[in-house]
Amino acid sequence: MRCEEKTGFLMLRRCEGPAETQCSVCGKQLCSEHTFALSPDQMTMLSIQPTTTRAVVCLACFRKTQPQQARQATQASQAADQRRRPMFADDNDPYYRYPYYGSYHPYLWGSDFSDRDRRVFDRQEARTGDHGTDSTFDS
Amino acid sequence: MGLIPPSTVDAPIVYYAFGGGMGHVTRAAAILRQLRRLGGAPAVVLTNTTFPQPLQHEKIPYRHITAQATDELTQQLRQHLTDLTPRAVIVDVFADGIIGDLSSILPTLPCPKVLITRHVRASHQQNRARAAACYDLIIMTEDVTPFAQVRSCSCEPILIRSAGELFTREAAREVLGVDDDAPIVLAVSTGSVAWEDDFFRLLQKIRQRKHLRAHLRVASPRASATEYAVTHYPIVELFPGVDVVVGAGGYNLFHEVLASGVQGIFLPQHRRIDDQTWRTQGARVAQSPEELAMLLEQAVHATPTIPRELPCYANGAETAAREIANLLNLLPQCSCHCAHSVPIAAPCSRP
Repeated sequence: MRCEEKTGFLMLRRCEGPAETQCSVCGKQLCSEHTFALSPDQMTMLSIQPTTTRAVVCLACFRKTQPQQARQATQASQAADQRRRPMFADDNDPYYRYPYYGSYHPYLWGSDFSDRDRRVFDRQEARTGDHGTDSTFDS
Repeated sequence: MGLIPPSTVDAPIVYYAFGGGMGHVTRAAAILRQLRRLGGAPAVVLTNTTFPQPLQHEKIPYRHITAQATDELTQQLRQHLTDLTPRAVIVDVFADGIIGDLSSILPTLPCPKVLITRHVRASHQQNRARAAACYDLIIMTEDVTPFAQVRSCSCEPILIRSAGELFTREAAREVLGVDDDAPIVLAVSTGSVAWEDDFFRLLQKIRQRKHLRAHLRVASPRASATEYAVTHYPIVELFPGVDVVVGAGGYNLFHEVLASGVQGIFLPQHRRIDDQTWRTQGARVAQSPEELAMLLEQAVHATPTIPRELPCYANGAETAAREIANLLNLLPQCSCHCAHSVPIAAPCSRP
């Protein structure tokens, strides 16, 4: 079964990854890349009974936990962040933030790049051609 | 069975532009637009491309061929060539066709045949050497060993735009939607959807994690309406306004970057016939996310120290078009009877 999440930077399309679990809230099938682990507090926010098992959700359900967390951020830390970084259009885009240990933090420099990032440099023979169909006309 | 010879001087030049991505059709458009400027014959491109933008933009007619198997492709090509009765056939890179589909057609073609060739992997060089004898003219760009017993010539990189056609820095930045002095990083791709997506995301992540004060723009034939997308075509026109270009190591992007003098960072990709690793030797090449992050940071920080003069380069498309026009006697002869042909726009300077 395939992951039911949408992916894509320029054009949204269905994720090609194999489903490995499902969203604890909406039941959507998810691959490992599209699962967001919840902390006990976040589980409470989404009315999930805290259990011994790990609760994972899809991005849409994970986002429902964010406004509450955003309010918890202090004015001081927000101001410091603004001074440190120039404002660009994507700075508030949740796609570019990452669930870090079940919480919600921006990417931090120094942590590893993902396998997905490294795929950009994979120079092994392409399984698909330039036009994304097959390698017959890969040139 | 031999194909019918062309019956009129209005018979079209047929350009065979098969292969992945936009590279082949971009080279076809580059040469055919220069031929048109010389007053050349009408042209039709036969192609499998899913990115016909270069041809559409230059208003060059094309026929889209979808056959995948060699026999089927050969049959369809033969039908098109019989229908078109070409004045000449120009083949892009693959001397015997991309999957050997031209090997039985070329010897039966009664018209002049021209091969435009660039560097290819060693595995394909043998095919090219075998088919070379079928051609009346071979135009070589990049590092290609000359062919024995075939009229051949070398030319500079064949580009879709000549230096004088590029935008000024100010005009380019306006098109890119930037009205401040911050550097612009332009990501260019014609790769697969999945690669393109990972590539753009990675650049965005690096920019954010490195806190680079630079604008990110992405150019792709698939780009939709996001705040980053640049839909302008051809993108090389905007290079004078860009500070760093990041992309794979395909023929067009690589040579456009070098010719225009913009900083480039390349991520060479594996292709069956094209050798992007060979092409990008000596250039800034990133082989990991960490390297890309480091090179990008260096390039963005170096931007204010790099003088940006108006690009000045020779466009091999002009040379190639002139050679083809000469072969086909499309150019008016010089009035001083010096036995060389000249384009109308460049009269002979001999006394």
